[in-house]
Amino acid sequence: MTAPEKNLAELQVAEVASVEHVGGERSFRRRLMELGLVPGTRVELKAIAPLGDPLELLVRGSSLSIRRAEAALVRVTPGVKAEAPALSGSPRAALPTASVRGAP
Amino acid sequence: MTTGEGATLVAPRATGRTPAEPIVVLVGNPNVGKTSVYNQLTGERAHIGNYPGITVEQRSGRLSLPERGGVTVIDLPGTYSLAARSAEEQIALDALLGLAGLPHPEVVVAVVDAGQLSRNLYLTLQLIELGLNVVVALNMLDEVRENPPSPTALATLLGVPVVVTDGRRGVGIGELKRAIERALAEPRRGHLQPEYPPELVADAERVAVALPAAWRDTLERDRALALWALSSIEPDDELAHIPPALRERCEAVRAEAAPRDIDRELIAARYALIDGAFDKLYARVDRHPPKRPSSERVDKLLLHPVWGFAIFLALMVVVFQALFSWSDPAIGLIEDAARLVSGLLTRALPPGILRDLLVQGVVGGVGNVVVFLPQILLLFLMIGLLEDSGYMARVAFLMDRVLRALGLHGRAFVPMLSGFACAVPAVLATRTMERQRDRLLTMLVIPLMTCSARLPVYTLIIATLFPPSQLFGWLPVQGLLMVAM
Repeated sequence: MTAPEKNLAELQVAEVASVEHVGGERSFRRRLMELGLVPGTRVELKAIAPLGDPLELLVRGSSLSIRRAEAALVRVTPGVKAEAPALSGSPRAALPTASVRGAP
Repeated sequence: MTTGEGATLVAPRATGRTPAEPIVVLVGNPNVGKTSVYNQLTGERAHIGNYPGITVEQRSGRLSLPERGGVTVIDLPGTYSLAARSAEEQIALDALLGLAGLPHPEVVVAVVDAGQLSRNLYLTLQLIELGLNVVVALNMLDEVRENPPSPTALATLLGVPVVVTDGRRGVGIGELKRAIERALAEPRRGHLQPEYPPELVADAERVAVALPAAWRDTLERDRALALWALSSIEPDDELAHIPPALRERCEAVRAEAAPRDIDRELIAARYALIDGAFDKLYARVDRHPPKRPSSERVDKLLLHPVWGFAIFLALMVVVFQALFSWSDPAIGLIEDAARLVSGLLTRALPPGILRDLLVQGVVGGVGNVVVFLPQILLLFLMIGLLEDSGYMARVAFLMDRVLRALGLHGRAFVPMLSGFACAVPAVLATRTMERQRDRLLTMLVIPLMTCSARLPVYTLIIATLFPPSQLFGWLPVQGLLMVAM
């Protein structure tokens, strides 16, 4: 079912994973977790900056930019992609073809 | 900067406030439209002590309520959490609780981005845990077209009033004023409490008894403050006015808890509460509120490996070309005016010390300084436009790698760009950076930027050495040289 652990910097664009552990200095860990990267959280690598660094993540419906070296401190388990309807962050799911429910 | 100074630096200025006037504090994450809500509330258009895009200082203004009358509104810098590492970050807590000699606020308005509810509620939850009299301004709800969160469900969940606002268009501001007035008349405390593990609650109780007497209040607030201290205090933090007893107790409790991860327990419990509430807030939970699709397509272009940099370079050419040529007519006008005035004075006054003082000293001196004004104003206009359109955030993403080669943070780009106008505000702007190391490095690099006082010197050299000619028939060589600088 699940692939072996990786770190966040090793994900492919549009790959989804689950946070296992945030490493690094205490203030860095606290900040990252406060921004939503607590263990167990679903995270998607949304884009990589043109020069290969930083990375843009989708966490809890919000975007988060993080440097490659910092992302390497976050251990993740890559998730199974087909398990659920893709979260809105993936460009395909966000296209206007998706039905709009409820009044804007 | 020593830690002691940090706290006094940003103390709110009393803007003609009478002592009895109640205080309302505005808090929120960065970039949630808090500044526009503040401007709408206070009717203030000007940014006080604030350079484009950067809220470095606390600003305060006045709000007139129909029944209660005048109220002082304080706008705190954007933050994701109350946990602090530096004295600047600590200001948020001090201002909210009226610690460190700051006045005690009656109402706290939490500005929340409806499109990023989870991350925003993390901060709101901390306010409610502290037992503050909170009013939530749910901002930018209209931008969440698909599966928007329900404001009434949010109000029920938090136990505090929720007002839907749109700061940019001024929607819901009247409602927000009425909600503030009601909150002033009958203060309410939210009822939301995360379920912390029992070990963490025990730790918090041990820290709570070490809190200074001036900080203590209700049991709940003491616990919330103890949790704040536990997550903020560390041996090399830059916090101000933390009593040694509290510091020692926090370190002892952390050391004894050793294999456990207090930070993780604390943060995970808060997010578990927020995650668990989502089925009440949204019609569907499988989809978090989506990002705006149109902005996603624009991002694809702006962050494209080739086009992204092409657009960035083209924009910079336009910005500096504008500084160079658009400001020319205004500079000409100022120079003409200075010449006119000095001509008049020369004719009106007899030769002597007074005439020399006025003509060469006052008119000449002031004229020489004012001549830079058009360029500085244009540059600030450009930076303001880039920042408000959200392009600056993309530039930071794009350029981080390049700036890091110099050991700088992506965020250093904004101060460095300001450095083209003047190094002094640019150095001030570095205060938005988190780490002292990043701040210092950027401050040291900024004086090397071509500030506008140096521009005329370069202009003179370029104009002398390179004749005005056009590259490829349309690109002015002189402007191009300025870009290269």
